Amino acid sequence: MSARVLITGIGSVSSIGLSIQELTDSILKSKTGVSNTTRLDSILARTLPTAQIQLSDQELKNKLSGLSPKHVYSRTALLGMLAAQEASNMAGLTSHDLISAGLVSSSSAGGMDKGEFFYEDYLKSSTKGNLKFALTHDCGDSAEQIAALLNIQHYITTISTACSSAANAMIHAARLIKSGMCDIVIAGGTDAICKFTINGFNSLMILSDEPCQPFDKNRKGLNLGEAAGYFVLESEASVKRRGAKPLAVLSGYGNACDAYHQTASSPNGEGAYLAMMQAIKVSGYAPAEIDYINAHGTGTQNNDLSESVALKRIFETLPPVSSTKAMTGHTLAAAGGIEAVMSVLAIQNGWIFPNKNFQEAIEETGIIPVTELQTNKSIKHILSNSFGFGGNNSSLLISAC
Amino acid sequence: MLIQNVYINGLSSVSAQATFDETFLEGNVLAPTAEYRKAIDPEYKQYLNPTASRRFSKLIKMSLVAAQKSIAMADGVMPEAIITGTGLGCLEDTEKFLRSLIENNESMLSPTAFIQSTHNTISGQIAMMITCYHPNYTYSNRYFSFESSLLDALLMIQDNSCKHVLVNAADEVIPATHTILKRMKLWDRSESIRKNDSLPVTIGEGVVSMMVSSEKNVTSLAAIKAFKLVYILPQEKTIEEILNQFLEEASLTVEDIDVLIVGMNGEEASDALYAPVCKLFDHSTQLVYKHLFGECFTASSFAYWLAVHAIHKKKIEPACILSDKGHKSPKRVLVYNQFRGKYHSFCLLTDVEV
Repeated sequence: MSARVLITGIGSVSSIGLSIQELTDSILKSKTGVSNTTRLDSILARTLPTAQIQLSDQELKNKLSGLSPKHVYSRTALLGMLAAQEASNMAGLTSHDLISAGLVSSSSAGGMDKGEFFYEDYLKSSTKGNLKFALTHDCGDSAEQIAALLNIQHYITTISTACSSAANAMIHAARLIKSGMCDIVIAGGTDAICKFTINGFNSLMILSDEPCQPFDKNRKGLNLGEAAGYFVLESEASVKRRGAKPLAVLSGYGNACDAYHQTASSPNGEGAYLAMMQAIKVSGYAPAEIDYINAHGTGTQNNDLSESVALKRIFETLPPVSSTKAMTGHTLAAAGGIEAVMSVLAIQNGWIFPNKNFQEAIEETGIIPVTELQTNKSIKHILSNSFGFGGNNSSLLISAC
Repeated sequence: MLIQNVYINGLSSVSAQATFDETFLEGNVLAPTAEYRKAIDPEYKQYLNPTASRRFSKLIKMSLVAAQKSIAMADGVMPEAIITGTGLGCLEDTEKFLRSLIENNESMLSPTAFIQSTHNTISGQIAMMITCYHPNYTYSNRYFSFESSLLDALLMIQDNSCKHVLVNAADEVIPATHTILKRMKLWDRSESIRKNDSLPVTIGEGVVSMMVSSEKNVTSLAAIKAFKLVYILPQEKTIEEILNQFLEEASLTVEDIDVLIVGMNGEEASDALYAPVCKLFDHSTQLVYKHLFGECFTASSFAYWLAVHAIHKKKIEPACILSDKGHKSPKRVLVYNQFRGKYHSFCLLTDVEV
């Protein structure tokens, strides 16, 4: 039994940077990836702001060595491979470490970015459509590609719990380590923007036609983004054996179900409340010890109010809170991954991230998030929230070593 | 991984066979009637609110009734976690939304199909049906979709974070995926029939729902004693060595295994990988099932249904027997599944009193 689950590597790809270094530079400039520039060939993506990575699949593929030129990789897999590889390199994992490591990936739509292309041709005739595209459709494909790139052989799996996916992947990974089934687990989430999801969120009327304004009274909805965020999680024994330097600790985690509505959050934020309380309980710290909350904060009417209510139920005095989704967009399954990556950076650098585009507080709760990048803070414990469809609410507590 | 004090206290399945009413165990074995192994619909209206269920796809309905039944079998206890494994998720709603988005050129789309298309709809709807605020997970990773779900349940029970976990396996077939999978030559019937030395397996669908618990009681059907997942076998070890080690950890040898259930799916090259395992357990009664239930990413869950009933009701359907060694009241059943040398899963199920 390992007492602590240590973070020894992080990797991320998003609209504000293709690496941790680029992400760091963007944070220091409070840059946003939300724009009206679209690479995705979609009518909606041309009219609504999104946070896309402005590189083609081929350009992403060129950044990875050892891939088969003929093989079709979903964009979801390519993003995941880039971030997972960066995390593995940062942790200094050898091929020997990787072969016996576990991989807990996550994705909401898997290879739908290729599946929808296939299906458009298939609709014309059932003999049409490139099967290489269809083969990447399921969620498990991207995990297999990441495992193949890194030569992970022991155990692989994928979680698909909508926008809480990556956070749940980290929870499963923590259990694998604590039980002793794995010493090292690469965990995180990846999602590429595609027509299916942008149309889905549009049909729910929760996409904003302006840059999103999390926690603002006049918020109009979310901006979709694409990203991947991956971690190397490790047992203390393994860290000691390898002589690795841990970056942070995954000290707590909680998962709860809102059991209220398939897409909407409950008015009292029950699921969010339970997930955060559980994460705090597992860590053994008190709510008052939390230095910063990286909120889910999507910018929709429903989420931000429900999350605010839950936060107020837990914290008598609310620590600094912000949502980074005005910088990265809402990256669905990857959101919990990239936000946890940013949490590690916040601990390392003493940062609190800006909740961009905020102007006026929500009347019912009056929460005023941090609006400018704060530096030179002492940040020891961060709560990072990820809430999703189906009432899937998860919360991670990331602490300094 | 050795498991202590974990029991299956409720079990229900909707499949191409009469598993929901359990008459399959009385010899009610159905021959294939459709191109694929279509699951037999239970009387949904007996279990579900008709207005609410009208908008649900077959996959969600099958999952809800199976979950209801397995929870009821376990004395109606509230699960402290709900975990579902699905290889391809809610295909009917995914196709519906994708088709309308293409046909309507990204405009005027109804959100209903999108809302119900996400993989986590199944676990989410079960939670809403029983108002369960506890942890809720969905796994989707090919031939580990169900196995990862079961693993997570076992880990949660072992670390005492919960006592009762509802674990589900759920996959549906729609005509489009059937056509596409045939084109991919995956789980395809014509291929397996042509090779007359293999099982005539085709594409299948269905749901298995089980209440896994740390509490042994009068409703307990079987116990889970050991569980192991290996994505790719280590080069330096043979499958025989891995199995021997797996049994050794449970202080058992191959002779202790009464029944072996293997996941042969009619694909010659993949099925050949079961040969050394069948040889190793040559004194065990050996069962196959995918010719009756069909193949899909979560088809191995049907082996668990068969294993539990072999142990609890002492019933083994003759149509499943590959090799009969006369074990009439099996106490220890080993379930083994793999696909093309990847995704190896091993589970040792035993009589509750063992």
